[in-house]
Amino acid sequence: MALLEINNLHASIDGNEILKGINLKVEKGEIHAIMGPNGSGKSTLASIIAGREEYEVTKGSVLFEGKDLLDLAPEERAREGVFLAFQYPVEIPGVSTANFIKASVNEIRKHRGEEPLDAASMMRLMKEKLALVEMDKSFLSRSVNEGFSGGEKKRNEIFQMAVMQPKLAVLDETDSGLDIDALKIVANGVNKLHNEENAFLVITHYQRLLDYIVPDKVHVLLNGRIVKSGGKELALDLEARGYDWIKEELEAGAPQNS
Amino acid sequence: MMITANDVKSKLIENFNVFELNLQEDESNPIAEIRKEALKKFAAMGFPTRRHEEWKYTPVSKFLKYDFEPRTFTDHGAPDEEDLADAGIPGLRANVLFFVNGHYQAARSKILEEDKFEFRDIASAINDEDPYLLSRLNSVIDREKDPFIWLNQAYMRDGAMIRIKDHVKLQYPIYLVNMELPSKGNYLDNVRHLIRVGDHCEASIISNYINRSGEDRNLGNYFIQLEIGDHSHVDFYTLQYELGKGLHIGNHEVQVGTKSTFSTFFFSSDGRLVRNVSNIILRGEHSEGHMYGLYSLDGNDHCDNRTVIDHAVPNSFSNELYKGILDENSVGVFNGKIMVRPGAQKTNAYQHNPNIILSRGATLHAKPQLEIFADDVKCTHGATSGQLDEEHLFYLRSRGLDAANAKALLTYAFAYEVVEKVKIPALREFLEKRIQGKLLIHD
Ligand SMILES: Nc1ncnc2c1ncn2[C@@H]1O[C@H](COP(=O)(O)OP(=O)(O)OP(=O)(O)O)[C@@H](O)[C@H]1O
Ligand SMILES: [Mg+2]
Repeated sequence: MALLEINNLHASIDGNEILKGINLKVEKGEIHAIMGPNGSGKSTLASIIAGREEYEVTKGSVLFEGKDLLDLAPEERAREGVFLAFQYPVEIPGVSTANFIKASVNEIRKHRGEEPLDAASMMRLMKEKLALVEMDKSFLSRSVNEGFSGGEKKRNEIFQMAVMQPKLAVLDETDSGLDIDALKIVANGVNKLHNEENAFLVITHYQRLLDYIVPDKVHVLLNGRIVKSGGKELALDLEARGYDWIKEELEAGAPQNS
Repeated sequence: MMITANDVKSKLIENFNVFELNLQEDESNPIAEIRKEALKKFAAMGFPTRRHEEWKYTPVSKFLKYDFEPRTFTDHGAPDEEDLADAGIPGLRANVLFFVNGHYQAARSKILEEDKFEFRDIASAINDEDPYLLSRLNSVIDREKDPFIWLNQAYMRDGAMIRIKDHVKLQYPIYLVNMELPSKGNYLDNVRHLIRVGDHCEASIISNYINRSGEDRNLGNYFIQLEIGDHSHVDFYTLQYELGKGLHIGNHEVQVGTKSTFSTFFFSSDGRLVRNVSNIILRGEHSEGHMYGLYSLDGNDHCDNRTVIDHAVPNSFSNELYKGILDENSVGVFNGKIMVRPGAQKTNAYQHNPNIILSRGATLHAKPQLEIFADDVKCTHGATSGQLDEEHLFYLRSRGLDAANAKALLTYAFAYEVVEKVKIPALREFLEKRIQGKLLIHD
């Protein structure tokens, strides 16, 4: 059974159809990359997986470990092991990062039938994961993302991912706005967490990230559809040639999978 | 038979003679004349109606459903363990002044810094014809033409008279416990606190209102006059967490001298009717007024916050942050007036009133009022009201917090901006716990 299975997914917002029949299967242990031009629907797909309620799914299904994901509230998905690293993480004044992470970890533990972590173990867990993304522990006492630099926000997403240990992590342009060092730190974090039991869906515009996080598959999302899938070399092609050739291929009726 | 506000008024006026007889005050005591004058003013004004601009959103007559009577002198009341527990703030060391049914109770009070300030209960100050007391009673400002002030003055029996001499810095706050206990009938307590802070002083005062009957058959009518000299710092905290469905009217009249800073904090979270009026007069140059409020309401709570900051001289500063959280069928009113007198140049005045409406049944009335008669001033104000931010909610839920918990966390964060301004650690922790308890946040 695939970890994630998306069948013929159609979704719209305010009457505009954004996703027009997405098919995607991600197995445990895999890393998939999704690339595609601005506005093609990548974040929409990520949001629907995470459970954002503004989108209307008009057709199709999303299964997570064989269960209907669309039937679950966002928090239930998180507890089941779905994680979204946001393209634009929001600032939440007044909510301390430490308290928030604590609440999050304990909700997930409760769901798994585990006892809440005591204060010392919680601190140990947070410190260990902060070290992974090379963040200072002073971040914990600050409000969630408030006043964080762009790069710090992205690292905070990876930190949360590391703490929550999801089965499926969707990273929406986590590499955008990162300097070279931060990019390596984030990639290193992902690689350390990656194992045979989990999977990653990495949305990016840049082939560079995929030098560090090596995908098993690369998909091109264009105008609400996955129009081409291939191995990691597809990313190199896209980097060199852009998306026009794919559009031309499509118009010529060429096969969609290489 | 239905009782109207007019009936309540007539009865209060008719029965004044009986009240006076019960008091057994000396006929020659000037207080008698002061009471009569006050009663006349109250009679002329009557209870406010909706036509009074200052009472537009608080139809007080709606709440005056019983024939409220001033409580008799003998009804001192004895709080039990449970009553007392409500007055406790864990870890707070303070000069405690305990009032039950408007009466000073020496046995439950504890003054730690006797050498630093002078305290008298007003009942005995009245009997002694204390000149300071009489002068203050004769100099009520009542800028708002508020009948409750005059009702208080006519019927006042007791309260705290506190004087802090020049150059005194209190180490511990003065903690006024205002407790009303259940008794037969529909009662009215008129309590007066008079505070005078000298020059070069530092003091904090906490005033906690506890209505143990928690019924709308009790009306607490409080009037606090605070006079602050020059170069002083005074913080005044008002707590309203134990009013149940009780009715509470509180008038604060504050005068701030040169280079002094006054801060007021209102934490209101209870009461069928609560009306808090803060009338602050910055009458010395380079003085500051800071006004913080947090009203978090649910059920049928009605909380009306009226603030008037009066910049009477040049070079003064005021800052106001009142935040509202309205749930269920509660009604919140915020009415903030900034007044800049002619010639009060270089005034800086800021006012901000954000509100969160958590339920469709809740209502907010927010009204800033600016009366500016000088040209070289900086003045900003803004009131907002809305729901919790959907993006914030989604972010928290996407990390496994359920919707209720996420809402509570965000609401708490909203409230915390006011709570964090509290400078007394034990009080701040107490408030954190109270608010978390209300929002059902667990550690
Ligand atoms: N709330 C909305 N109302 C209307 N249109 C929307 C809304 N949200 C998204 N869209 C539209 O859906 C399309 C897909 O947006 P989406 O954010 O998924 O693109 P993307 O592939 O992530 O783009 P980018 O690479 O710029 O992040 C865009 O044309 C966008 O304008
Ligand atoms: Mg996007």
